[in-house]
Amino acid sequence: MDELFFKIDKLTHQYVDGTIALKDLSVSIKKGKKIALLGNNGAGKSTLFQHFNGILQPTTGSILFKGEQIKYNRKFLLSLRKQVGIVFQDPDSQLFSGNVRQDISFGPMNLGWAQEKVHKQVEWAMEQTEVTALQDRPIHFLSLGQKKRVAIAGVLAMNPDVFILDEPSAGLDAYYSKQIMHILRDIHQGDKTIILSTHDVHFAYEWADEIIVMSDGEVLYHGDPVTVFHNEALLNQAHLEKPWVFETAQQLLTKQLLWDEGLMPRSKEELFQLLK
Amino acid sequence: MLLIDKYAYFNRLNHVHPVEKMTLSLFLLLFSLMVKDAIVSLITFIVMSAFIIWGAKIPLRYYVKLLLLPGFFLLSGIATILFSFASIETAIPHVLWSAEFGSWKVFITENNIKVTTGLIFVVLSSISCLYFLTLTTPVNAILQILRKLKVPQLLIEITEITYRFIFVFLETALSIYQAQSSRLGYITATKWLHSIGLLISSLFISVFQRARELTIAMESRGYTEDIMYIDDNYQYSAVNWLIIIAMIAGIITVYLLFGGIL
Repeated sequence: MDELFFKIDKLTHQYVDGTIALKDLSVSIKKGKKIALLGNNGAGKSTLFQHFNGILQPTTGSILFKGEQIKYNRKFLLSLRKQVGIVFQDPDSQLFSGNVRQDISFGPMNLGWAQEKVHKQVEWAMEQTEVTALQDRPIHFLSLGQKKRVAIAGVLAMNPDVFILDEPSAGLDAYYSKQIMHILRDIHQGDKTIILSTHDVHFAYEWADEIIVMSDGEVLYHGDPVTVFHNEALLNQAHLEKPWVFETAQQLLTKQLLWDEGLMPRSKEELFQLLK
Repeated sequence: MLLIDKYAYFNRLNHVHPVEKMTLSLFLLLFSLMVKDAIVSLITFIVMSAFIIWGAKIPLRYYVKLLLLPGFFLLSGIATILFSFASIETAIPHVLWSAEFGSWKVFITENNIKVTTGLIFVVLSSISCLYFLTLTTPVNAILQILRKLKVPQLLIEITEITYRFIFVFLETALSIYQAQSSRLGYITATKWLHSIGLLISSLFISVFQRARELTIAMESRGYTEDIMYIDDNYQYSAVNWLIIIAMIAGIITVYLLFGGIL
């Protein structure tokens, strides 16, 4: 039986202005998974993320973290946030320190680690995100893409059990989007879970173990990354496109140009392999 | 971007330990303020300017521009000190120049001149000391030292976040301004007034939004009471300390031997 990080049960979130962002939402986040959260704008992805970190409190419903009900007191939230790291969509709201290295070390220092460990983690996170050369730069000299990578490094350095990224590839060029995809593949190990929201279905299809599709505050789908793209009605409802690898494979299968091995190719490389 | 801030990061003295730069500039600043001696002030001004231009390689033009800024305040300050007013019957000794306006007269005395020149020298030397520090040392390096000196954390954190937010707001204001002017928001005087009002109010709202977002982000990274970082690495240099000590000794000697000459 898979162990769970989060178990969310009938969660409803209503903002003070009356907007209902999440409706009776139930979802479980297992350990050791790579999860992609897809959904149109305003589907409630960011709201859900803020619940994972205890930033928002449910209007009704409950959230369990490692089997324990989340309590909204300082002590519990601190221990929750040490285990759950979140990279926000807008790096300007996350970065505040004098220079890159300092900002990345902010989180690890808060974890109370020894100096050497902080140094090691910061160095490692900078290498992973390719910002080592920028380490002495002040934040306000960076471009958006650079800020984004620094923001990711700042949470990566904390080595959280659950690593949440709100649209990590938004605003990045193709090279760095791919770079981040590689990082997310490399750092995924053991029990750690990565959850990210994205509009990039190609990336989600290739990278994820599980896909969650949200629309209008509800979960429409939660499961493997292939089945979802067979369901036309669902894709329409959530304004999702099919990944090109998937669509091409589908076409090739109907025209019987591809050997049907029961498994859909997940990446360009896998597709080319089947063509041989 | 603010040029003054850019130079603080990219100048030839930025690898020098901030304690060394702070010791030199703050000592010279306090010393020239304390003794208020013209020759000490003049030497301080020349030495600090030389360090800024040749040591840190700040372009001369930019430095002169920076000096003009407080120069303007200095001039307006001097005018009020230089000229005195009195009713026409008052007898005043040591008058160098005077003019009469109805029942009043305006005049300059020897004492006025003395006070004014003293002021000019002290202001110039203090400004050059402060510019030396701001042009060669990034804010976060100064804060790192203040932290070591046990200045209250709260003060340092407020400074730090304010400093960061200056740039966030400059950027926000600039992008709002560009968006407005690209849609012709500033073509007439009334439109200008209307647009600038909108700019200020939306900037005001974004202050609160930014502050809230930052708090959330900091808390989610485990912020509790103090902002802590790993310190930047600077090396002390024996040569630098020798230079600093020689300069301090030099300026004191000059004061003792030639103080009060000018």
